[in-house]
Amino acid sequence: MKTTSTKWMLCLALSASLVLASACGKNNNEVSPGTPATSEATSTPDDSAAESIDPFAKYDPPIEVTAVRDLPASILFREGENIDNNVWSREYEEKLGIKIKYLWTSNSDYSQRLNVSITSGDLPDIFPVDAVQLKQLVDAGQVEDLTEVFEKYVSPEARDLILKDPNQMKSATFDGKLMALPRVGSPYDSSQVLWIRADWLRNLNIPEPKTLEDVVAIAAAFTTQDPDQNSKDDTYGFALTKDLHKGGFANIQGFLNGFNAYVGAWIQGSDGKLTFGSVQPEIKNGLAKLQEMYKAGYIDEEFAVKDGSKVMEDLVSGKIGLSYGAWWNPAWPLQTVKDQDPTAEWKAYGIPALSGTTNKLQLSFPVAQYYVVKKGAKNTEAIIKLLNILVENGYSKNANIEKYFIAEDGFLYNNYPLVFVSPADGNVNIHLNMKPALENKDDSKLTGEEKGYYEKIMAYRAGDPKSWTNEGMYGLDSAWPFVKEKIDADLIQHDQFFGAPTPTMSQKNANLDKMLMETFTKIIMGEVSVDEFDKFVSNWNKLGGSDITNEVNEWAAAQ
Amino acid sequence: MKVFSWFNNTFLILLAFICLFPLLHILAISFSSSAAASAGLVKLWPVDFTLKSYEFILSKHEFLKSMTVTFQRLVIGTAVNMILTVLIAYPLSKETKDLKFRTLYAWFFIFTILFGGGLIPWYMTIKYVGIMNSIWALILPSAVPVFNVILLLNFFRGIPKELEESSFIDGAGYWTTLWKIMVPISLPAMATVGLFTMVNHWNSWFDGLILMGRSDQYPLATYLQTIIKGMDLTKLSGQDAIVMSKVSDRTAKAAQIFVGTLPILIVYPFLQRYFVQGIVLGSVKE
Repeated sequence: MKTTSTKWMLCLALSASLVLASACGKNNNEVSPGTPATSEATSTPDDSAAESIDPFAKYDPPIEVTAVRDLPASILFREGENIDNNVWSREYEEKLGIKIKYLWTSNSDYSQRLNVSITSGDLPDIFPVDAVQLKQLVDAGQVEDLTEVFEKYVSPEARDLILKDPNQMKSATFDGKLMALPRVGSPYDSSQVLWIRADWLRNLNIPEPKTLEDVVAIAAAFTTQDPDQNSKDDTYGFALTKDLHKGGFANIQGFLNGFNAYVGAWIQGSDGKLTFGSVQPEIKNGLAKLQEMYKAGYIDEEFAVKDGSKVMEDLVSGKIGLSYGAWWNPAWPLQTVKDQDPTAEWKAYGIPALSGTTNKLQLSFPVAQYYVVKKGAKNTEAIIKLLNILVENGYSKNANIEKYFIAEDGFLYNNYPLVFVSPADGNVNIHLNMKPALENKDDSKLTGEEKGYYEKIMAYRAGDPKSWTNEGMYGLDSAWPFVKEKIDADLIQHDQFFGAPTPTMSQKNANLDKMLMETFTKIIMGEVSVDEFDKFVSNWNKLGGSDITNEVNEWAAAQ
Repeated sequence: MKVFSWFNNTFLILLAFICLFPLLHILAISFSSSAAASAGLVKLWPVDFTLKSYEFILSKHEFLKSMTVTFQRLVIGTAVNMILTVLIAYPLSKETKDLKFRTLYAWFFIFTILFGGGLIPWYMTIKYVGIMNSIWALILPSAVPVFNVILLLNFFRGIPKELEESSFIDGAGYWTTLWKIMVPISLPAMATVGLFTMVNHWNSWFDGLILMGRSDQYPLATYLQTIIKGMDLTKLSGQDAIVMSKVSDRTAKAAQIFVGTLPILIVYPFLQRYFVQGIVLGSVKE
């Protein structure tokens, strides 16, 4: 017992010094593998300049590439298959002649384990990293420059897809060099909207909300007028977790968007410079309203100690019928509500603004993962080929979704490929394709994936409440009609900063964030007056916020 | 006096209940329907009794696999630990005149309690020894539990010298004396130390996470940690949500936790009576 606790303390101390250690690793790496890498870089153009480059050319003889990756805990394989032998690994081997050898895989704490590997210099050829690790690796010179191989080997379709939103590609570019392939995705996938139980609205005879004032009125009615008609005073008007604006559901991001406040995002100020959304005066208005609502009892008085799974209990047991959350909330946790109470009818209502104002929909930066190639790895271009074949099989005109992504029986293959990207508007498009099909009851124009959703929705409409998920995610009750409206009106608030964390950010952000959470929570709970917000803003600036703002603007100027 | 014992009993029963409560709660959840569990309706008695989650875990490959890994680790690991502990503790329990440089040896071991290489050197050593991704990665790095060595060493010292001397007079060497006299006589201490190592092997998850390459090589504790920890709700994405809707089943988690606790729970009462006696005996010497 003693030994383990000692070991633990050492673990903690050592992981704290990880950063230090990786900085030390820098020197070693620059000296030794630097030379072969440059010679390789000069030799490859000669070899390949002779032949015209086929982005799908097969390696003959086949090559082996080592990799590590995280696998979701829920990943499933067909009988007798595994991560080394599945539809994608066979595809890699047969079409590209690339055999991927996973040194290890992890279904949780991937990042922690990868840090150990990075620090001990025990790196595979290709591996996914997060933004912080990418910056560290680039600074330490541990990853290959992909600029040249990308230009040379990428297929036209893959180039279109990955450059659709140029900012996503920019985030992987350092000093004009492409150091990683970003796992591009759709910014719209971070849409947060208002979800309300439509059956409760009907019970109380309230019209659908159009403005933020309506939302507050509904919260009031849901608190006091017994919306579930069980003659008990057991409901709250507004779902909220202790994480406030973070987390995918029961948060205040969408609510604050109603005040034109964009918490946690870097936005363009009136002077054209970037400023931090969380310290703008609009936030104060939102907090004042939340304080009022808390005082009136619309918000659970214990919200400050409830995490997502606790609030979910309140949702599932029918205590809460109004929650701001992500577009995918129907999959989780709203389907669970429906399982428990089939009469529950959740519907999305966009992000209502204060009456007489227009607001923007806040989106976060979609890239959270980057694929890098170890410095000195052979066949640097293999990673581009993996990208090419993913796009070819999944998103090009030759795509075969049923074979490579989602089988006809609903079995998921899309976790198998090592390099994964998705188009910048994927889920919105699914909804837009489904809409006419659902309205006309005609699935002939749908893709295989969409047909799968269509069938589920039809099953739900035929009376199976367990199949509601897809109705809520892609159907007519989903968040997309509102998101589409905002896109068409160009009312989107992107996070304007998408670089690696700046030096002051890495130092101070944890403290600043803690201060923010404490102040916001106290204001909402009415422990301090809403004017405390002004003090928070000046403290925020003093304790590193203004430095961060400068750094962010320097970064923006360099873009 | 009566009042005191009445109070005392009530207090102890309450305390016992507090310790038991989480376990009963988990048990109740594991027998409940999943909708009732996620609505937070389950307290100490199952709601909508069902055996579904137990059927589920019996068919769950990873759970059974990790159970085998843990049993393997438990059997081999405890055996290695015990043999090495005895072989180190016995010589070190001798006086310096019997064993030259005894103090030096003793400090050699005690040093490892006080100082260690830390996570990265630890990881690299294991990697370069070449036992990564094998069961030995879970056994060899902790093959000598020094704390247990000290415990047993003190126990050996407490045994009257006359016993040992009589054995020498009858012509036995150190080896025979150790296995025929010292070990049988130290059974209480051995049981204590054995229980420590068993519980340690059963509970440790971190090494499994770092040293095992595939999730199907995880020991039970690591496996449970990964399913319970689940996802950070503040970082969920759309894809995660779909995953979440499939794995967030609390009843299945509860069933796995309960089945995972059961074996070590059963071992405890059998060794418990040695347990207390062992520590006390080991700690007192002449």
